[in-house]
Amino acid sequence: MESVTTDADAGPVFRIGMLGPSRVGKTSLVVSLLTDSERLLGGTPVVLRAADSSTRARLRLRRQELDGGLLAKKFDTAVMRGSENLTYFELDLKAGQATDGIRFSLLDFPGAWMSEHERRGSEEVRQWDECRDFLVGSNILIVPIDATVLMEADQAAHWQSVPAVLETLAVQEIAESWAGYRNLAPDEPALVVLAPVKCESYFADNGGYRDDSQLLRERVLDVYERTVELIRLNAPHAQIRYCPVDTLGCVELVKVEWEPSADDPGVQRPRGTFAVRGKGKISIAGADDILGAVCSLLVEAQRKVTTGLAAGHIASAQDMEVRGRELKRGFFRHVLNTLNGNIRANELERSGELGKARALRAQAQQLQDAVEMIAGRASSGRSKVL
Amino acid sequence: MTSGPDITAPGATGPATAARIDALLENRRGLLVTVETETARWQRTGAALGRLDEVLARLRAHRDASERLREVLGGPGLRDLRSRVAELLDQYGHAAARFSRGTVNLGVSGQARVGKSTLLQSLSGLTDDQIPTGSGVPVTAVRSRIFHTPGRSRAVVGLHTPGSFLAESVRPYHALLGLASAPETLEEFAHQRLPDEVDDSLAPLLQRLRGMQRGLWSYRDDLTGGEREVPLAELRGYVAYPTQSEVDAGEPARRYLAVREARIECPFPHAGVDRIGIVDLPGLGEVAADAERRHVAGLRHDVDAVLLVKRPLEGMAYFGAADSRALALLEEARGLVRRTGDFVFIVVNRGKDDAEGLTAALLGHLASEVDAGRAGRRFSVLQTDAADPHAVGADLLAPLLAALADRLPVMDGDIVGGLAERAGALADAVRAEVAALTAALAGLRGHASAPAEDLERQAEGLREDVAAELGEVVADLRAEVLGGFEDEHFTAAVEDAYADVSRWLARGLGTAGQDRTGPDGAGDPEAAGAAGDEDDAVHRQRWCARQLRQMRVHNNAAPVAADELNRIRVEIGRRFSSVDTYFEERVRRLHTRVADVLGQHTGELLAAEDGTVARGAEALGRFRALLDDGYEPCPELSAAVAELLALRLDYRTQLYPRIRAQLDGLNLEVLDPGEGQMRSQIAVAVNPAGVEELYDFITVRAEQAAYRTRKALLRDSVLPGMVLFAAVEQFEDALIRSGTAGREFRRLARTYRDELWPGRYGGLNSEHARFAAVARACEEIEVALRGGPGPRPAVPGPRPAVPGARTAGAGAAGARAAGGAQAVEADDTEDARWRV
Repeated sequence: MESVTTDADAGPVFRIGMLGPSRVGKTSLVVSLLTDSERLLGGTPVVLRAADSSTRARLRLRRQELDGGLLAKKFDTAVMRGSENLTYFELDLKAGQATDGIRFSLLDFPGAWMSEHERRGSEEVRQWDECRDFLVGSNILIVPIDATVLMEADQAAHWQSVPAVLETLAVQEIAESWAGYRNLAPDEPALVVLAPVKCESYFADNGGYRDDSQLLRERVLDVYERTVELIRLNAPHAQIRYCPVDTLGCVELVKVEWEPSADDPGVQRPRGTFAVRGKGKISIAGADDILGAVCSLLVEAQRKVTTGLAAGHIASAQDMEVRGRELKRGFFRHVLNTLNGNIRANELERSGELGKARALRAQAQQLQDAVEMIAGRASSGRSKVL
Repeated sequence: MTSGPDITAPGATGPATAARIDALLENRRGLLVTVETETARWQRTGAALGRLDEVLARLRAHRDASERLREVLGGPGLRDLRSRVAELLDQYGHAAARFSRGTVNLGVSGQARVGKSTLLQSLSGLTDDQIPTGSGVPVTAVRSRIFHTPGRSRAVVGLHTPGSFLAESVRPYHALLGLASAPETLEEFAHQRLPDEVDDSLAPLLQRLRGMQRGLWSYRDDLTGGEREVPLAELRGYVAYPTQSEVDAGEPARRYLAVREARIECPFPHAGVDRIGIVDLPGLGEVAADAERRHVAGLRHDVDAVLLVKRPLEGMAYFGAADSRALALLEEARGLVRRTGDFVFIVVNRGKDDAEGLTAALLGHLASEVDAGRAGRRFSVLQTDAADPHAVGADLLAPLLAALADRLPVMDGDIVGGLAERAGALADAVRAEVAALTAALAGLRGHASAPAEDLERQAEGLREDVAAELGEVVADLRAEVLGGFEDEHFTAAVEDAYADVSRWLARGLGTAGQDRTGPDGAGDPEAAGAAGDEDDAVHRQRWCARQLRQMRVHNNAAPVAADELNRIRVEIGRRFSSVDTYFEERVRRLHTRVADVLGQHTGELLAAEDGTVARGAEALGRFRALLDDGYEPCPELSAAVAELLALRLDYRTQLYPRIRAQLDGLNLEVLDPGEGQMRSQIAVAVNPAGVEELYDFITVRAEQAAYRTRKALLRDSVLPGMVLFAAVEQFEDALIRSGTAGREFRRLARTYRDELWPGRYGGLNSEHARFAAVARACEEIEVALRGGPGPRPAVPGPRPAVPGARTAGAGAAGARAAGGAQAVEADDTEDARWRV
C-alpha cells in the first residue's frame, strides 16, 4: 500500500478516507465540502473541483436529494438513501496556473460494511478489504460522527446502542491501523478529523438559538477517547482535529425517535426529523475548517514535493557545472569539447536544470502563498486541534 | 297590608325614651366582646375536658391497668363538669344573642281568653286576618316575631323540612304517648296506625296527633325547608289553628304545622317604636307536647321583657294556680336577671264593659298574692284596654318603655355578672376535680417500674437496629444517585406525558372538540372523545379555517401566531405536570419503607387500639404523635419525622424551572443570539397558504418544544432520587446521630416500654405515655381556663421542652408530680426538667 501514488500525467495522488457508518452523512459531508469550497477558496489561487464526470454525477445526485428535502421543508433521516456502492470521488486541487493540480482520491462506501455481519457475499468482503486498504493507507482520515446520536441519547438503552450505531469499535480498529501505517512514513502528511455532522441544532452561530457545542465536544471526546489515544500512541506526528459541521445549516432537529434495529437485536437506532429553518437557504458551517485543514496539508505536501524536485534540478545543474569545468580543463580538452559541442550541450543542460528548478521554486512559492492564504482565512471558530 | 285603625299616639312614647333605647342597644354591643371572649375560653376548656375524658378512658382501658387505677379514674365528676360547661356555653350563647339584637323585644304571654291577641293587634296595627283572636280557644299556633317597619308590610315564614317536622313536631307526641316507634318518614307517619285508646289524661294529645296525621295532605307540600314570603292576607293559615267552624265543616287545613316561625314586618301605629319588636308565643296551658318548654325557650332566646296578660272576667279575676305556674315558667325564663319585676310586667286588660268590681278584685289579689301585700313591690301592674290602641300606647307602651330604658342596662349587668359568677364557680370546680385526679395519680407513683439498666440496653439496641436498616435504605438511594440508575417508572411517566402532548398537538394543535365545547375548548370529555375519532387532517382544516378568520379580523397574522404559541406553550408545560403522579408514588414508597423499618423494631407501638397497624405516612404520623405525646417528649426525633413527612417532589416547583427554557421556542419573538435582539420567527401572508404555513411552523415548534422538554426531564431523571436520598440521609442522621438522639431513644423506651417490648416488663408504670397524656390534658385545662390555647391538634408539631414555665396551675403541677420517675439520668438536665 502507498498513500501517495505518483501519476505520470497528474503528479502525486493523495488519499482521503471517510470512515463512518451507514447513513452518518459521509456523502453529504463531501457535498458540503465541495459546496463550501467555492466560498472558502474564493480569492485564492486554489481551486477544488471534481476530476471526472462520474464524480460530478454522484455529487449532483446527492445535492438533488438535499435540495428536495429543503423544498419539502422536512427531512426524515430514515428515508434518506445511503451509499450502496464503493465510490471514489476523484478531485483536483489546483493551486495557481503554474501547477498541474493536486489530485486526490476520496473514498465513500456503504457504511454498513463496517459491521462484519452486514457484509454479504464474497464480493462485498472483497470490496470491504479494498476499502480497508484504502482507509489504512490514506493520508487523511475523516471520521464523520452523527451528532444527533450523541446528543439525543437520553436513556440507558440509547447509550447502550451508541457503539453499534456509530461503529466506534470498527473506527477505533481502523484508526489504530492507519496510525501504525502513518508512523512508517513520518514525512508524509497525516491528519485525522473527528467531524460531528448534523450539528445545526447544537450551535448558535448559524441561525440556531441554542448553544450546546460544549456538551457535544465533551461527548465526542468521551466516546472517541480510546481512538484518539491509539492514534497519538501510534502516530505521534499525526494531526488530530475536531471539526463539527452544519451539513446544511438551514435545518433544525425537531425530534428523534429511537427504534429497535431490525438487524441488531437489542440495538436502537435514532430516527431524526428535521425541519427547514427560515427560507431554506443552505448555510454550511464548519466545513471550511475541514477543507482548510485538508487543503493546507495537501498543498504543504505538494510544496514539499515541488521543493524537493527543484532541489533535484539544482543538484543536476550543479553537477553540470562541475562537468563543464571538467570539460574546460586544459587547453586542448577545452578546444576539443568546444569543437565537438560538448561544452555547449552541457551548458544548455545545466541552464535547463536551473530553469526547471526556478519554475519549481516559483510553484513552491505559489503553494506556500496558497497555504498561508487558506490558513489566514477566518475559520468558523468551531474547530479545535486535539 | 294591614287594615287596622290608622292611629298614632305621638305622646305615648316620647322621643327621649326612644333615644335612650337606641343608646342602650348600641351600648349592649360593647358587652359582646366580653361574652365572646368568655365563650371562646369555655369552648377551649370544654374541649380540654373532653380530651382529658378521652385519655382517661384510654388509660383505664390499658390491659395492664389495675382495678384500683380504674376505680380512681372512673369517677363521674368529669362528665358532670362537661355537662356544666355545656350549660354555661348555652347561657353565653343566649347572652350573645341578646346583646347582638337590634331591637328591644317584648314577649306577650298569658292564658287563653285574656285578650293576648287583641293586645298584639293594638300594638302592631295588624288585624284579625293576621293575628286571629279566639273566644276561649287557643289561636296562636306558631311563634311570630313582629317588627315595626315603616312603609312595608310583609310576612316571611320559615318552613320545616320533613326531617325537622318529624323530629320536632311528631316525635314529642310519640314520646309522651309512649308509642313504640316514631315514624322515620312522612310516608310512615301517614300510614302509621295510632292506638284507639289511651289514658284519659293523654287523650287530648292523641287527638292532636290524629289531627296532624289526618291533615298531612294540607301541609305536606309545604315541608320544603327554607323561607317563603307570604301575603299578609294569607298569613293566618300559616300561624293560627283552624277555627271551630272550620273544624266543624270537616277536616281543616293545618298548614301551620309546616311552619317553624314567622317574621312579620309592618308599620306600628305608635310613635317611638322604631327599635321595638314583639314576640307572639303560642299560649300557655295549651294541650300540646312540649308546649311549655318551648314557651320558656322562646322567651329566653328572644325576649327582653314579658307582658303577662290578665283579664278581670267572671271566674278569672284572681291570681290562681295556672297563673302561678305561668309565673314560675317566666321565673325560669328570666335566667340571670335578678329581679323578676324587671323582666315580667303584669298587664290587666280591662275592657270597657268589664265590671269595675272584678278589676279591683283582681288588682287586690295581685297585690296580696304576687306583690307580698303591697302593689308594685315586685311587679309593675299596667292597666289598659287591650282593644283600644290609644289606651295601649298611653297606658302600656309609654310606661313600659320608660321602665325598660331604666332597667335594661341593669338586667344586662345582671346577666354579665351572673355569668361571671357561674364561670368562676365552674372554674373552681374544674380545678378541684383536676387536682383530685392528679393527687390520685400521685398515689400510684412507683407502680411497677422497669429496671433502668435493662431498659437502657433495650433503648440502645433499638437505636442500633433502626440505624442498621435505615443505613440500608440510605445506601440503596445513594447507589441509585451515584450510579445514575435510570428509573424506568420515571421514564415511563415522562414518555406517557410526551405521548399525551404529541396526541394533543396532532389533533389540530389541541383544538379538537372546541367546536363542540365552546371557545376555550375546555371541559366536555365526551365531545373531545368524539373529536378524537376524526382524522387529524380534519382538525388541521378546522384550525386553519378558524385562524384565517382571525387573521382577517386583524388583517395580520402576528396576533394569531402569538396567541396560539402562548396557548400551546402553557398547555405543554401543564400537561407534563402529570409526572407528579409518579413523584407522589416515589415519596409514598419511601415513607412506606422507612415506616416499615420503624414498625419492625417498635413492637406494638404503631398499632392502633383495634390492633391494626398503620403503614407509610400514616404510620410515620402516628410515630411522630407518639414522640410528642410521651411523658418525656422527644422533640428532635419528632422534628426528624416531621421533616421526612414534609418531603415533597413536585413538577411545578422542582422540575419546571429547570425545563422552562425548552419552551422558549414557542414564542413569536425570540432572542437572536447573533444580533442580541428579539426577532419574529415567522411572518405569513393573510391567505389560505399563509395560514397553512403558520400551522406547519407552529406544529414544528410545538413538537420540538415537547421533545426538548421530554429530553430535559429525562436528563434530570436522577433529580427525584437525589431529593429522596438527601431527605432520607438527613432523616437518618437526625434520628440516629443528632446530639440528643441517644437521650431521646431512652426517653422513648421509658415512655413506651410496654408497647415497644410487649410482655417484657410487668404492669403499667407511671411514666407510661397514657399517664403522660393525662398529665398533659390536665395542663391544657389549666391553660384553657387561664385563657390560653386549648388542646393541641392530633398530630402536633415540635415544641419547646420548657414545661416548667407552664406548670403554675395546680393541675399541671400535680400531673407532673404523679409521674414519679424512677430512673432519672443524673447528667440529663433536660430529662430532669420533664420529670419530677
